[in-house]
Amino acid sequence: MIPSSDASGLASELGAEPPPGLLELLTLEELQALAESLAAAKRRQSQALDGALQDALGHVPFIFRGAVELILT
Amino acid sequence: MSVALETRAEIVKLSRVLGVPTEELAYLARAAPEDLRVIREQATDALFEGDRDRLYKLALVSRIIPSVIAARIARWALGPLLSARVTGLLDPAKAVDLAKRLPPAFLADVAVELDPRRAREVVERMPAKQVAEIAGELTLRDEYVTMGRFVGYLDDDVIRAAMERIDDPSLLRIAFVMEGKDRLDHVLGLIPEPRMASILNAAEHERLWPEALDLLDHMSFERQGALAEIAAAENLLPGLTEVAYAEDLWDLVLPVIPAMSEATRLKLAELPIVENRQALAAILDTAGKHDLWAALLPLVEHLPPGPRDQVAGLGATLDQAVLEHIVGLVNDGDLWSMFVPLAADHMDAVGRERVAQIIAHVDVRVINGMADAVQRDGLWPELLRIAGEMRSDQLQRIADRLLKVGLEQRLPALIAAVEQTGLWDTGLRMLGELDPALQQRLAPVASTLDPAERSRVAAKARDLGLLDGLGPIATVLTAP
Repeated sequence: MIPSSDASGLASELGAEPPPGLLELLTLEELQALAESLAAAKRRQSQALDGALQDALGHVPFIFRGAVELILT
Repeated sequence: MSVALETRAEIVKLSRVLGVPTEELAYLARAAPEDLRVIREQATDALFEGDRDRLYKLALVSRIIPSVIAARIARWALGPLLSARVTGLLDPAKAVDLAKRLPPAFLADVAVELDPRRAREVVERMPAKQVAEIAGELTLRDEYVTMGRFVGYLDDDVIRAAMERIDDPSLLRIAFVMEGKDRLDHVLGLIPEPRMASILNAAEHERLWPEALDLLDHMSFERQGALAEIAAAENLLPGLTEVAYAEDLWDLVLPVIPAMSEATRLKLAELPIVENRQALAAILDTAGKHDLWAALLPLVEHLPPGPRDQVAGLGATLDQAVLEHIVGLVNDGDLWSMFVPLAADHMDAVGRERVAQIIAHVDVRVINGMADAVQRDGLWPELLRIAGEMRSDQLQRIADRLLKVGLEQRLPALIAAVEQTGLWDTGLRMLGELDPALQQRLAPVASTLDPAERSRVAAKARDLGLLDGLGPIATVLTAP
């Protein structure tokens, strides 16, 4: 068991306090691994979104493109 | 579902959310499933909130472009993950219209990533035919966990349509991992009986009895009974019980016994597994751990002699409080015709003595229930065997109750049982311990006995030195 303050990394990634049962059960390394998995998922999603927004424009007919660009920027 | 399996299912779901292989989260195997569910939902929310503004902008774009173009963007630019994230932000009608233009394979990909909590209205509005197609696609990919997340959000007609596209083993696997199992009984009610029979056969042939038995735990009493009848009719009880024993799942099976028909209970009691001493011991152990005696007791009367002996033997070793509890249940269920012979004929002297001590001390309501059953079901011979282990004061307590009402029938029945069993000492002691007022009331009844019988009883009482104790009854017995 580790003090809950050591789980601040995971709480920060989650934007919420993790379940106390999990904090009591997992080692510091495991909590950090979980936090890192979530952080990596966020990064991947964000990068995917960057690319997707660019790609999306390519599928928008010229007539709508201006309005779509306005929304997305 | 066992906690370990629930945890495993939650790890699969969390690995999807985090986009990592399941093995990478192996360290979570010790965690409680409810904790993992909470953290999965927190992670899903965090992923959504992290890009909320941009996802919201994408949803706005969908409002100003035709669905056909939005569908193209979803499929070729966003991909399944981002499409799933945006879905909950779309106008539901637009989302459904957009989905119509996407192939089932892509929608299946989206379903894997979709959080139904955030897209409830969209999921609820999806046409049955399209959901069925997606379900067919997900079945091909063994995506049981994904389908299990959606069951709680779909209408009956949609579920029926989807089930037609899902094979029997997959249905069992989905039900096993399904979220919101409080709805499982209702969903199972949508399955016609022939299909249920087919599903149970799949449990047998695909080794999915643990999954099938888990269903029982979430069913209404009536449906449990119906399922047991189907299993019996399909001759599936042997396989089911073998797995229940091997996987320690008796706690799921025993509660169903009261819901079974008498014929099915009989079949169950005659299964080879019941002849297995270890299996029977495990059944009793489970009944004790989970307080399932009330469910188990109706089965005992159907057991063959060997297993009955074993049940009696093990029963005799139970804690006093447990035995007392069982005697109370026997009375509540009017199971004396099973219990009294079990104790009398299948327990050894030590076991009989323990039962005798308990019967002698239970409350009056229970003794009265037993007394009625003894007379009604002709249990006097067996009761005498148990009463033979009682002390005088104990005998007095039950004798008064046994003979207090219906004297005209009960005294002759007692004498007949004494003659049949040769347990003169117990029978006569019982009469000797009666309250004098009751002996007085019994005397006229004794006078109606056949003269030869009166002489025999008197002679035996004299031989045993119990004649004087019979008071006014002795006077009648020895009268010329």
